[in-house]
Amino acid sequence: MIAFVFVLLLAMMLMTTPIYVALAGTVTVVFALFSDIPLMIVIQRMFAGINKFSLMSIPFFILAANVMSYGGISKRIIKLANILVGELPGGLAMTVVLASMFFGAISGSAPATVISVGALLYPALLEKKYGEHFSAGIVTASGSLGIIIPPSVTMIVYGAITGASVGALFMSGFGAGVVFSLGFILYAFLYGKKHKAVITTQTYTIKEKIKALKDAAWGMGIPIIILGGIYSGIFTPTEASAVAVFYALFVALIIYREMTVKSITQMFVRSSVTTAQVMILLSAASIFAWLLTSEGATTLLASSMLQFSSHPLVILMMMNVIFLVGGMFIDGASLIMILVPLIYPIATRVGIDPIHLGIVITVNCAIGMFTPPFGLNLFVASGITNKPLSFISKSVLPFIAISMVILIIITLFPSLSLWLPNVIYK
Amino acid sequence: MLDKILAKVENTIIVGALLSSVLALMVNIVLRYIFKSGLIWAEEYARFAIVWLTFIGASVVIREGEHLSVGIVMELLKNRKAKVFVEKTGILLALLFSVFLIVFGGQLTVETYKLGQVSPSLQLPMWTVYSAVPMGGLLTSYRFIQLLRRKT
Amino acid sequence: SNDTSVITIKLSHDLLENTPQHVGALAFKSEVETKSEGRIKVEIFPAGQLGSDVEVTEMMQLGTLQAGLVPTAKLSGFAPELQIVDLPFIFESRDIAYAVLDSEFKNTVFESLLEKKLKGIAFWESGFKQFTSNFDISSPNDLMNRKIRVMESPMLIEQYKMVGANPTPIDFSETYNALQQGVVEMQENPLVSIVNMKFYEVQDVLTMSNHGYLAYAFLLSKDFWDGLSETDQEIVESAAMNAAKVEREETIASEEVYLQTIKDSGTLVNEIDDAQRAAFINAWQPLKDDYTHILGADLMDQLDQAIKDAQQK
Ligand code: NA
Ligand code: NA
Repeated sequence: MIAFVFVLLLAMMLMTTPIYVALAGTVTVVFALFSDIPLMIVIQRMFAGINKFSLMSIPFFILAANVMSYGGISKRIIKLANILVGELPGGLAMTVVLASMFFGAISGSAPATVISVGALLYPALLEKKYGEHFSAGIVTASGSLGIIIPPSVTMIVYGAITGASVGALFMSGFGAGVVFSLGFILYAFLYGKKHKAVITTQTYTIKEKIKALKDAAWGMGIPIIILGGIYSGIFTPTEASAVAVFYALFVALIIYREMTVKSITQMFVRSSVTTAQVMILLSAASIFAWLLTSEGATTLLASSMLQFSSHPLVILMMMNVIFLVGGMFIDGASLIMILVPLIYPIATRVGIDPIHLGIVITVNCAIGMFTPPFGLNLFVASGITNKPLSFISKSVLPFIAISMVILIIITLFPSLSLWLPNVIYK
Repeated sequence: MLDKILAKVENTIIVGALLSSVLALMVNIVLRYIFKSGLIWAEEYARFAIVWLTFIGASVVIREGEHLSVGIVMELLKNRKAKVFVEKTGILLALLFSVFLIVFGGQLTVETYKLGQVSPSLQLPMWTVYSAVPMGGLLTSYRFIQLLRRKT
Repeated sequence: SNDTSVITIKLSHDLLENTPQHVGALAFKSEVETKSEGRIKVEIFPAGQLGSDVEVTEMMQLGTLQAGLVPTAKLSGFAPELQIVDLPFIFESRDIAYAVLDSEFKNTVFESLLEKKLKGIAFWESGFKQFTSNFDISSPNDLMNRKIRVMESPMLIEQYKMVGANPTPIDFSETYNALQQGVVEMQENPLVSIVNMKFYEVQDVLTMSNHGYLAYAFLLSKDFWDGLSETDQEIVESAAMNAAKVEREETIASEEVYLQTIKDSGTLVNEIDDAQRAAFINAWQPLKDDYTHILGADLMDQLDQAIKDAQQK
């Protein structure tokens, strides 16, 4: 029966129907065929899946990031990143990674990061004679830092399901994000060394450097507000996201002053559309998760995994495989909604730290953002580069390989991500 | 003409829901820290507003051509007829699901109305919140029918 | 389970597998399955796996779930009458609570659920509520201006406003974080939740106040109930009542262990004396009056009578 569920889901997806329809539609068909449960359950669970206060931070972090982005933060961040690493071999490519990191600290979403950084830097990379595949690849993959560096929609969903501290998850995201970035920066450096032509010639005066730092610093106030506010107990993670919106509005409207009435309206509509796009998927993922739970998939998965081994590392590695395969087809936040209720009880039973688990899962979802055939980063990258999906899918291959190595490192060494919350909360 | 009005209404609802909920939470924080008393209903309001945003917004997402799907099949298929067939089938499935949302979402709304359940904080009848589902089904049906009739 | 002659009861509760609630659920399962000679199968879903308390209640109304254990305070939006059990200091001891909640009064208060398509068959418990906080509590004045986390229930919110506190409804699953991060400074719950949710880790003081009784209503979908034969109805109802005894005994036994766990963690444990209790009772007396018109004077009288009867026993 569970096999039938997944075959039907895959078939519907391949018919290019919207994924939310594929997920919720599969459940509807299964209930109609195999049980006498009234079909209203589908509606009720879709509703209940998003009627959660902890999920309210998703729209607000999306809005805050858009305010900064429309308000002019992207180019300031890029300038700062370029000043810091631009003169090194592969400097402009490193700039992409660093700028994605900075933007990730404002945005909770990976595709938003791809758009904000990629739209400006992809043409610049081509101009500096970086290869088309390399340029598209680094822009697409680096965008995933958007969900590893806090704030992160993925971590919020994980926290909402498991009750794990979103504050601790956010702080652990920093360590993991730095490791992830270093992997890409190293690759950019080697690529730059090999293709000697790609070295930036632009230099900046001290005065310019200080101004760039000051300009970008306003935007970088957002992570400080979010983490500081949550840590000091002034507000909950969800409320922190609302505060971030007001702070972003302040910076955009009072400090940067680049927005027009028209762009403000457009920004609000865009934010609402992105919110609906994410939330309707979560809603559908929630009923899909309910089907799996009530059909006993939890017990089934637990017994088959534990039969194999009960060593935490082996369990984590098996989870990595499950999430990577799932991530090829479904959006990360929805995947967490579906898989975490099944996996979490097993993980805690074998003694895996819930925060470490959250970070490993987040990194998996971050990679899933650019693994073909389905990945939000792939889609938006295809948009900003004007290349077909098949082209982008090829471009990201080396980055997928690097990410696998990083994923294994992060899985094997929990302390890489856990040191910050351990310092702060103890 | 109808499309333009509809788009305006949809945009107003989703932007209004987003802005009002962020405002409610902000006011709540300020009240709590300055006046030592919060808006008990702020949390609940934010949840309900985002639920409305989601179901009405689903239609806007389709309007803007941004619903997420596994589109790789369209690139792999070379035959034009096969492409059209796959695309239309996908839309038809989505339309069927929208009709499902209307019928069963409507049924849930009516049931909840009859049972008279109210929300704990706002004391709002829950059927008003549930009605976002059939409403979303109605709007998305309209959008999918438009897509179905579009020439490819 | 393609055998259509087997009836399946999916039973949901909101606590973990190592709690008295789950032990009670297992007792219910075992009795139902044995007495029905396998005609009825019970599947237990702990830890809110199938949904929150409110969601689970809706599912029973719609007939998409057969059974659930739901705290009475969470039922305020469905049938306000159930809140009568949540009035502060309404039961002076466990024995009185059990006597009242197993008496004819049970059927009276559950009657309001029938038109909401729910069938109540027994009261289980989570126990008496205690305070945890980062400061000493010995009188209602100590709650003045304090941010307290409460369940999302209008009556509980009113109760804490009445003593000048700042009640904040926060989801059960977010409460630990809210306490740790100082969004709220205190909360109220029975020991089982204080220990299982590890609230004591982030709170300095436990005040044993017994200031309210947290009852779980054992509910069934009315449609499901009506579809059962009389024999099966009897099996299910008596199993729920017998399991209530198991669950209550298990709760009482566990509370000693819970208390020790809290003490061992270094959290200070205080008890309020009779004079202090009287001050709290006094401060919350108006709540009972305010709620008489919501709960109905009739129901209130019947409760008073049931309590009197229980005291005479
Ligand atoms: Na981020
Ligand atoms: Na993917």
